[in-house]
Amino acid sequence: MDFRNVYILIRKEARDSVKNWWFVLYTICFSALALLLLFLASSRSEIAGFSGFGRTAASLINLVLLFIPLIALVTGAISISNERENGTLSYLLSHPITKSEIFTGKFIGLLLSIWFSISLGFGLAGIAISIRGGGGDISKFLMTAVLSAILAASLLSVGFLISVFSKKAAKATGIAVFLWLVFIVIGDLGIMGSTVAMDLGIKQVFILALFNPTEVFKIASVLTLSPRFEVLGPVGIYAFKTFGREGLFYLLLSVMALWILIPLGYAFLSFSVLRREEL
Amino acid sequence: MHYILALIVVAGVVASTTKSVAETYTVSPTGSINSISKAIGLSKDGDTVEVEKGAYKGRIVVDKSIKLIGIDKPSIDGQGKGTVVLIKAPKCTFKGFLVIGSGESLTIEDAGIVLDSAPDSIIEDNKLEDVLFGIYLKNSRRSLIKNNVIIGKDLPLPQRGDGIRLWYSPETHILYNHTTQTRDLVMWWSGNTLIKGNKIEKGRYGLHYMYSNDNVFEDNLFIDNFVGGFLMYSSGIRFYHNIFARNQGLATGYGVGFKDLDDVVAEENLFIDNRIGLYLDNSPHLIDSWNKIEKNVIAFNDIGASFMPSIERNIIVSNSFIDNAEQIEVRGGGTLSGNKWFKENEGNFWSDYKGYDENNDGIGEIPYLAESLFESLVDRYPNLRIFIFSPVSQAIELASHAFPIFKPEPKVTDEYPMINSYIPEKFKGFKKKFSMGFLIISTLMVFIPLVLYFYLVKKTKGKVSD
Repeated sequence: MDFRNVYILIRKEARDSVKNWWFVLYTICFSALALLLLFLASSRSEIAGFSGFGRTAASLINLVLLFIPLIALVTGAISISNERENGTLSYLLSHPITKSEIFTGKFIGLLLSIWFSISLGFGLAGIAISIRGGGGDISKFLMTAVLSAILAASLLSVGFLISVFSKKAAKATGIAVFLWLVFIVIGDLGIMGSTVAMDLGIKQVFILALFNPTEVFKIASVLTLSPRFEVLGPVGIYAFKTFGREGLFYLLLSVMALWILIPLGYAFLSFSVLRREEL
Repeated sequence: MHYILALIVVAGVVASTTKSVAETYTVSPTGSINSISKAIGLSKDGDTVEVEKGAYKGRIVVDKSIKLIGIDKPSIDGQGKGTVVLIKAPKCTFKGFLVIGSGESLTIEDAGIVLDSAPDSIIEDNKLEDVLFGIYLKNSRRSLIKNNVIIGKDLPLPQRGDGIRLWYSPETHILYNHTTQTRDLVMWWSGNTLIKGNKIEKGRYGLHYMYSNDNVFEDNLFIDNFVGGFLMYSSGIRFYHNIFARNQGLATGYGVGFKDLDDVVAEENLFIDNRIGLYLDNSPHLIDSWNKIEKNVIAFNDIGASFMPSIERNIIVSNSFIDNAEQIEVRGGGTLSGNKWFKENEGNFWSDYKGYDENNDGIGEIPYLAESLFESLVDRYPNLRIFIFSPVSQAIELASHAFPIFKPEPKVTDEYPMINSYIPEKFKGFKKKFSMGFLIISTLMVFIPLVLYFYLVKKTKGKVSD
């Protein structure tokens, strides 16, 4: 693998993402909403010197949970399928460049673009918070941003997996939006339904929740932002007591790492076995 | 004849006063009286024993009504055995000492200072360290405990003793003390007491009433305990201007818990950042009793107020429920319609109220209804609380609004929700901290991506056009 080629592709992707209307729109929406939410929520963030895990943190987590998976899944899904549909992929491959270089370059390029927009959104929100004087602990705020970046990486790799198996960008986008719904609503709804219907125990609910990367992100950020874990109820207390604060955090991080590595690895293998005429 | 009688009486009075003229004994490590016990042995009722600075080993027993005054905080060291200071006579004063090193037996209740049948006594300006129980009053009514600092032993909670314990000691005043790392501040069968201006931290139950009626506590701070105040089996408790903060014990973690409590008046208290701000269990339990909970601020708790099912006859008005993750919980589900959530055009402030105020009278035009489907699901299936803050919780709310068939019965109906929160003056006026580091890092987070982006895009243009 020639890293010069990869570097050129990274720059190409970065430039393409600015040209991509959807991507710019998502970034603007995310930043604007983050700004607005925090301006509204931090107005009553402190009484008598105490502040809690209030609406500020909850709204930030919610915003990340809604937007980041959508951006990551959709951009990932159209990344390869779009070029394949337009024929630009075979054009690219006619240059002295390998498929693994294209894959790596695309992934890193898009990941950087998404990370940039996360950083932008969090940065604007952070400025709003510090101007309102509701600052608090910067390390917690940064940690939430880092967790969002990891969440973005895991869903981008799921997006790539969709992209590799789709010949048309429209189909890929459709699947991505459906998966987004599954991750943020339908999956959790399913667990909630089974908990009520089948009277699932604490352990089962916790294990089922671990299968959803967005839920894992949420638990990890509550763990970061909240001084205690009881806010997540008996399941949270169980997880906290079983693994301890650090152990639980590493467990959640490794689940997210698996969510990056497995789909990405599978996508990479499938992409590299594709024959030239299939592209 | 009368004159003679009067003379005899006067002579008698003079004689008795001269006889009991109060004497002062001075104890110092180098003086002729070098132990406190020796001075107590020499003294009689009404005398004063002054103790100069020094380290005095061994436990002491005060069996006369005397004043023990420490000068420059002399220390009394129990050397890890039994109770350090035992006061057994009424009207004693014990002031200005450092009391250290009690035993560690919970069964014989080793303490720093014990008042046993010593009513009308004063315990003031002492510091107690490394003691199992702190100050323990048995059958000692009308006593005063003021300005003491009590630091418990660094033991696991089940092995600790109470910071201050009252046992059949009514009318006692507990003022401006500070206890840390102890178990409870507890009163057993002690009514008509006043507890004011204390700071109680890192204990089990900050304040604990057992069968103690008509008590008042105000201006106290209960922080970092398992439970701020657990008030049980009592009636006529009134409390004002207290702060209950960060009480976060596992499974408990109440700011204040009521258990079989009647005729309570709670006004202008702050319940903040606890697991559960206010917890009501079978209170009031008498059929003709009403509890009044008014003008309190309940903010930033995981659950604002938690009720056991079928709690009735509480008047909960003019409180501000601010940004609790769940405002009201009914354990096991159900409604709280047997309580009064509003009276004469005044309800409570709810930070999640979505109504409006058309005529600017500070009261919302549509009622506040606590009828969240997600919350009522969580109340019935606590395991589902793991999904709090997830988009799925909002999706469920949305569905219940779109299809009212799913809507649960409202837990609370407040016909006159307040538009503005009411925060008592005492809790205002804290300045927010402005963090320059926060601003700088946030600004960097905005500009670094922009610069990198600009760099990447510009260079690529050049390369590609080659």
